Amino acid sequence: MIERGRISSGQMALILFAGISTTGTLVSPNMTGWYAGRDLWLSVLWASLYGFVAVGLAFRLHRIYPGENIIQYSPRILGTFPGKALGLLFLVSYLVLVGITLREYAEFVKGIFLPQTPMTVIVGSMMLVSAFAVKGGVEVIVRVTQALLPAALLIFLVTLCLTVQSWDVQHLFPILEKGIGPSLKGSMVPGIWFSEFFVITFLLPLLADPSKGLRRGLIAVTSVALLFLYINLICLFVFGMEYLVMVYPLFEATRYISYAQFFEHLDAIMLMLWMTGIFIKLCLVHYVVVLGTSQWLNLSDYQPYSLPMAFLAAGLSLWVVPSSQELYRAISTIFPFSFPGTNVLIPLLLWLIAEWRNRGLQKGEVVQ
Amino acid sequence: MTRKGIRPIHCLILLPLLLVGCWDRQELNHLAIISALGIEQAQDGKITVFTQEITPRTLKGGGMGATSEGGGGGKTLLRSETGETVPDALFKLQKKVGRRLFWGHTMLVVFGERAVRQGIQPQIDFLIRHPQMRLRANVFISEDPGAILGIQAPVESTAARTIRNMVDLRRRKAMDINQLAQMMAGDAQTAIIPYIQPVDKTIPYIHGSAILKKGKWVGKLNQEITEGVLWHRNEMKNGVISLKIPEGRRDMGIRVVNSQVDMIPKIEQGEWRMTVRIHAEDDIEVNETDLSMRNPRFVRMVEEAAEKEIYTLAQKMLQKVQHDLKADILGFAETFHRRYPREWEQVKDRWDQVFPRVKVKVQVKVDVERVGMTNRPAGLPMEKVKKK
Amino acid sequence: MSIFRGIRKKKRKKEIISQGIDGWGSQLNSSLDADFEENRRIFRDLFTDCYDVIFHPFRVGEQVQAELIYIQNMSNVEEINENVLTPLMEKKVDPRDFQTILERRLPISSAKPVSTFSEGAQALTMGNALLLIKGVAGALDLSVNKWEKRGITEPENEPVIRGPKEGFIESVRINTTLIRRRLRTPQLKLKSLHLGRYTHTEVIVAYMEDIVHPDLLEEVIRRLERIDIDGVIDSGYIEGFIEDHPFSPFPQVLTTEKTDVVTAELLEGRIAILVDGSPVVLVVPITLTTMLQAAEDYYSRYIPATMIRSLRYLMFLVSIALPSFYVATTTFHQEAIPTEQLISFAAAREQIPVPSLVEALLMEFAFEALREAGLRLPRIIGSAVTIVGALVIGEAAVSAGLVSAPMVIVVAATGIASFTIPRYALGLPMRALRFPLLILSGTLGIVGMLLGLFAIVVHLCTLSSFGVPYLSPLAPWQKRDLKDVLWRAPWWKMDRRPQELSPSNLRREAPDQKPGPAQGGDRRDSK
Repeated sequence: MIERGRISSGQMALILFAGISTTGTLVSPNMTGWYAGRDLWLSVLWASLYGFVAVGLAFRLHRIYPGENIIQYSPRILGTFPGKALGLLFLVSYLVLVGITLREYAEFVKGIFLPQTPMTVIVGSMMLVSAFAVKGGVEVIVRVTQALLPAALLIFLVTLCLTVQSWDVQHLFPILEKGIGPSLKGSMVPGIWFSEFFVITFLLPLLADPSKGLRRGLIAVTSVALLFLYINLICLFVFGMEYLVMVYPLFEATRYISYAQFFEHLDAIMLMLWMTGIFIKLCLVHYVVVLGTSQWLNLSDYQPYSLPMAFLAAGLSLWVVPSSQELYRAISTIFPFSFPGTNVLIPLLLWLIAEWRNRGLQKGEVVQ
Repeated sequence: MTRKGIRPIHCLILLPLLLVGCWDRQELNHLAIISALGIEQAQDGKITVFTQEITPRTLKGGGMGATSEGGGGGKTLLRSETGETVPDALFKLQKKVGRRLFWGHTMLVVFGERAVRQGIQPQIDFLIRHPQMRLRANVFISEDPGAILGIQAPVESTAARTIRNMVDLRRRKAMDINQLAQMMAGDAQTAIIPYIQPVDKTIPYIHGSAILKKGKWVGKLNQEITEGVLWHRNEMKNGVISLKIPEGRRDMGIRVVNSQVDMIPKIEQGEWRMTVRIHAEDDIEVNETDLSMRNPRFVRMVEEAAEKEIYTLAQKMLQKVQHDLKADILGFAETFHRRYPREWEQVKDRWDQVFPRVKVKVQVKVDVERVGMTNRPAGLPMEKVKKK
Repeated sequence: MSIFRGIRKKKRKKEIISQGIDGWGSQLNSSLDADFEENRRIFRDLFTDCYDVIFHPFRVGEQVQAELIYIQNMSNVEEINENVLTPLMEKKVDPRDFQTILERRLPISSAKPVSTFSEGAQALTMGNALLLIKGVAGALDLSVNKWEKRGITEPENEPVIRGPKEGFIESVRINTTLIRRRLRTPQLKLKSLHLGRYTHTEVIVAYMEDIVHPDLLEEVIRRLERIDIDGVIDSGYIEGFIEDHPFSPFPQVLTTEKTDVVTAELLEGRIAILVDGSPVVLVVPITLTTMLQAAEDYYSRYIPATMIRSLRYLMFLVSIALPSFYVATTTFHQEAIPTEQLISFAAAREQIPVPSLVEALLMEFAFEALREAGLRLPRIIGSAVTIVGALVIGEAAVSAGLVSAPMVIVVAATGIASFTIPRYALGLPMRALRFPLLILSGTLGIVGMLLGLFAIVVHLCTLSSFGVPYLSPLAPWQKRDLKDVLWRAPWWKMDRRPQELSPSNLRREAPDQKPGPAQGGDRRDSK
């Protein structure tokens, strides 16, 4: 086993929650709203199905091949060559995810806080710190999550509650004005984030208490769904349909908070909170990429490759899209298909094949 | 094990070396902190901008720097520049200012009347798009934005702060950029912006309002009608009404503590109807009559008088807004949209024509909650108080 | 390749060990001669040019030649006269072997035969007397040592308002007594080791047999036994040898001078290492949160203790990040400062020629220098430094337009915050890390500051002290142990020991001891 660290199911749920929801809270409402309009909060409910299915599939596959992740068992299911090819597909898609996450972070920071600072510096500094965290192994990244997340999440939720002063619940109506269609269409966008839940396949083999894995995984999906629901509603309540013109509606909503002419202008605090989340996300996804690559190449260790892979990811984030507009266009047009495709559809097929190949075998036996 | 642990700390030492360069650093004394922005139409399609810049040096109270400074000059500085568009004008202005213009603390945006007549949609777009600009900034209309921004506030640090305090004090939702954008893009595409005028060169005075339709000027409301509109929009939280009580033959002042307006839309046989229910809770502020408020009959009398007063105000307001200006700033469009989405779909493009034909029924209910610290007319001999 | 490299490394290490740094002559390892004269000669050889070593020849029972060797002022001469020389010089004594002498003649409670020269020399250097008798093989080590020591005082570095004020001193014997007096149980074990080739410093490993994790004990002993050094002057030497992460700025060993602290830690399953000659006792393993807990938290009532503790956590953050936060907000995120405040900040900065970052570095530097100066100087001059510092920095620097007043406030607040950290050793990395953080926040604003903080958190997450993660029970979460971290649980709720330290003996008190009228406190109920 290349990873010697062990994590608890609670730690897994925490890092999944932080790693998946953060970028979603930043950019997803606007893009969801593009399709779903007023019903964007319903889209989240539909999209969460992706998450439940992804976690369920990962767990099923994990039951058949305990102690292994998709990079390891796909060659056993499909045979060496197609299996390795599939593994590569996964690795590339997660590497792209690292790049995209970095880019989203960089666009956010550069667009609002550091307009003059070179993109390279913003991307590079963040990726460097993440790479060092990943170098410490899975135990370090879950500990970092546990050390940073509780306080950040608490402040985040309290801040969100403070937007209540400018809520107008009337903006919610009329619900389903154009039927269920727009909200279903809109669900493709949060679906990207929910399908990312398939990274659980890399964490399940590392659990010290695997029996709780499924339950905690589903709890993570549910909490992300609730959080997305909440933030989408806040965007709608504060801005009505105006949220559509804002790239970061939730950020704008928190900036809009003002109490007693003193407690206002929370930009910097929100930046800190989002950076914390994005850092955790980068750690998680980068860890998956580094670990997966080492397993794919049958290396004996993964930690030394964290830094080189980080350079790759940082480079990727710079050239993957030419501008922020292209970035958001890609997220709202290409990703809704590519992510659920690799993270839900392929695992589903894998699972079916694995079940079919293992039919008639005793429990615990698997076809090699 | 030991080798692993040292890496992140190395990274901490490496990072500063890597990042020698301060791209976005802005020292405080290199910033021109703008507290208010004014936008006015100039000749031949150009735009004039006014900025109210805070000059921190003179704000310092006492201090060692006070020796040479002090004396002449205000606490804020008015600058202006003309350009093709707002950003163009600001760019030109920047060239004349030695410090970087900083918009993070802009609390006030004042549009000139002529600018509003030309349409302010591009300006709103600029204000929302700008990363430093605050959606909370209050929006006003003035005949002369330059004069408003040039006001040297006697007590507060800036005129912008004075105005914001006024807005907060009246406890009335003032129009800010967010609300304005929402209204302009809403179903009715109308907006109401309060008017502001300078009095006496030191006092800004919020009085009346302007109505916009599709981002352009359609008319002006006086203070009375404005209050009626605000009342209707549930934005009036604190107002005083003077009543004539027939029996007492003198005046009575009541304060609106809380009011709630409900709109109930109805479409019957193609006829669009709106019932407006106003429910107000009042306190008695002054009692010039000789009526004792211990008597519930007299209280009811006051309530009726107040209901009548409010009803009249509402009717006046409706006459002006619905029939004269034909601008739906009352939220009728949204209300119908929510209740009758399908019917709305058919009329949404010609709402301008439908709105004036909506039959409006106003129902007013007033409750006197408290009568103040005394329940009889004070300063009046007991025998002269009318008890029954 | 890597395998070979490993072997080569190991070989080299062995060579060094075998070469050694021998503190004693080679003859020392030989056992004592049967010949009295020979023994005498060798001892005299060993201690040539040692004026303080006294060789006192006398005759046992008025006939048999004997010699008593001791070190002046380290041995109790009165005791030697009364309890050694007087009884031995009586006529009737017949020295056949040490056992009989010991049993019948010598009224000394602690004496043991010595068989080698090194043992003998060691006994001498500890202040014992050595008795050689002609015709009797070996020597007798008589424990008559007595040397000057400091009285037990309140440790100046760890003052408390409420709680024991007893501090350790430089003598390890007294120190173990102090612990033993608090823990009157045979379960308190005090293992003795001698470290340092020349100093032969006594190092005591103290632990509670029942409570301590056996693997942890084994690991501590192994790490201590590995140490090979010429001398151990202070426990700091030992600390440097047994840390898990030598390159980390963070302390991984708790140091204390208070007996009550050591006792409490022993009861939680930790191990104390006492070093002779040092009043500072090492406690392992520790976590970051234990460094932020003051002894007094446990003696005062739990509600105020919890509040003070959370204040300390906040100050811990402030002590590392406040100057960076100030620089980041005033030079990058001016919108985050309330308008009126920003105006007065801007006014204060109008005449300052240097950038905020430089201003902050300058001030921090001055503050650190002042602090160090105040610390090292004799106490009387120290207060003068404080006054000069307060005047120069607080007043003159501002009016001279060198720094702005808000910056002075920030630096002063940071200084005060760093004083709230109860462990001096933890304050040091905070002070050091403030500078890179400042530079980061001066280049990238909040983003830079946060990246720096992330790096520190990542580093803290990789740290461990004797296998216990440094940030536990916060990361990884130990739900039960949080009772002593997020708040200070009342004593009747502190029913378990830290999980990682003592898994086999978790409960430390009987359940259901919550006091109150129903528990018999109300006398009417009991009637």
